[in-house]
Amino acid sequence: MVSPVPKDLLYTETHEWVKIEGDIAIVGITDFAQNQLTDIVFVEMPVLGRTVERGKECAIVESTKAASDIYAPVSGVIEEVNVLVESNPERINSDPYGDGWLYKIRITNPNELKGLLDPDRYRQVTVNA
Amino acid sequence: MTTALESPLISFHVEHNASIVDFAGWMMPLHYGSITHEYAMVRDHAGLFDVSHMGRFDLMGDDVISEFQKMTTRRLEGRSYGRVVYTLIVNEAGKILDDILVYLRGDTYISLVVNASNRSKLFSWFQNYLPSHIKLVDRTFETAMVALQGPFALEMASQLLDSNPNDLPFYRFNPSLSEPVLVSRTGYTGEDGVEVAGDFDSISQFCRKAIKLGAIPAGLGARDILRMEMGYPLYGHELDEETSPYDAGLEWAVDLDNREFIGANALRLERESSKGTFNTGLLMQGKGIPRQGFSVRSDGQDIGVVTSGGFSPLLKRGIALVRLPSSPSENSTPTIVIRDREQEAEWKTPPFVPDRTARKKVVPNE
Repeated sequence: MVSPVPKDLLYTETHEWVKIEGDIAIVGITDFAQNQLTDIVFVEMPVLGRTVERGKECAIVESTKAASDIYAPVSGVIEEVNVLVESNPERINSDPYGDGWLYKIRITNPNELKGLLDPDRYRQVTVNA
Repeated sequence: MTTALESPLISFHVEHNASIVDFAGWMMPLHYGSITHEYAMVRDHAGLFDVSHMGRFDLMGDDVISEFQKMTTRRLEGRSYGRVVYTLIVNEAGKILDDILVYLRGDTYISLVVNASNRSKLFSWFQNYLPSHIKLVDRTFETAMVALQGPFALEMASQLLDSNPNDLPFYRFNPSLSEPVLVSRTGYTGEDGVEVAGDFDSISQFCRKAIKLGAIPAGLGARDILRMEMGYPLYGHELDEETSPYDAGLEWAVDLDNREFIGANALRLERESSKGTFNTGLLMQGKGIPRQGFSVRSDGQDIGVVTSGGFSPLLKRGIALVRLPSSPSENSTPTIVIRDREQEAEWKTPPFVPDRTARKKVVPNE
């Protein structure tokens, strides 16, 4: 079963969640996404310092079933990646909103935040998926 | 719009929180929570698979074996009753229609297990070519079938069945009249185990009791990884109607000398032309996971294609079954193209993991 969508996060239609802390966006994938993927076995993280563009592929998650692109929800520069998840990718399945976070982006265009989905809009996306 | 078929064991799946997918028109469990966990349980303990979606046919009549083998690449005559024979069914051009198991029950009775995706196709094919005195019955919808596989599977099965499955050699079955179910020492995982077919109630009971003894339900996701680690072919990947037994590296499953069957002449011509198609495996060196259709390269050249690819939880690396038009050169470093990047791999003739089936076991009464 998919757990309720956390109220303090923002979302994308491609099932990433975003937590804003000042000018940093922490990014992960939602419980809905990890459930669809099943066991995640490898993560290909973006390189530190890389410039990423909103809506473009930023990381890859490989599960036993298939590979999935993870997109940058906002444009910016990769500030940090979660090394714990790099060596323990199953954390994404077990704790997608906590320990399973993927990377942090230093936001370069705060206007883009308006394009993210609030929890209720995201819940709609999962219902219609 | 056609609705998908439901396994007779659907309530068992729902009870165990299965994640259901459409497979060959049947709603089947992909997993029950974790593909990796179910895989590990099969390799370390015992897993129970529902394979009721597979086609089950009965053929009855005089000379059924000599008639039916006119459509099989392997000779069926002269083998003892109680044997299970793996064979291919090819068309007149020698291309594979399916890979099946034939249960030799007696001189007027055989049973077949065929792939779910090919059930209708094969039923028509057989009906078209069998003489009218042979009765062909599709038992798929009146029966259920499961596979219990793993190092503890036999121990559990011996507590669940009247006859002792430990007495069955590899690829033998017990058509005992006292047992309501057909039990064979077969499987698709590389572990020892049994496959059991019968009426809904008997199989349902078998499942519930197996779970009580500690077997865990395992789905199609785990099943695919297990067979891939063994290098076992899967129809739609290693086998299809563009592929001959020689293309697939299955020469051993073709008995051409002194017999005729549909497709034999085409296969004779092919054998003479000695194509040289080479089937083997690759073990990834880095993180990428190969998938069907990805290119295999070496020294900047395309040298083949991935027929099946995935992640081996045992080896913690991606693995691939690959097909090459000719055998690779000794010192070549193969790569697989994954998302436009060549990723290094190492040649590995399957199986990738040890064969722990009953193939190597000495059985008391043999």
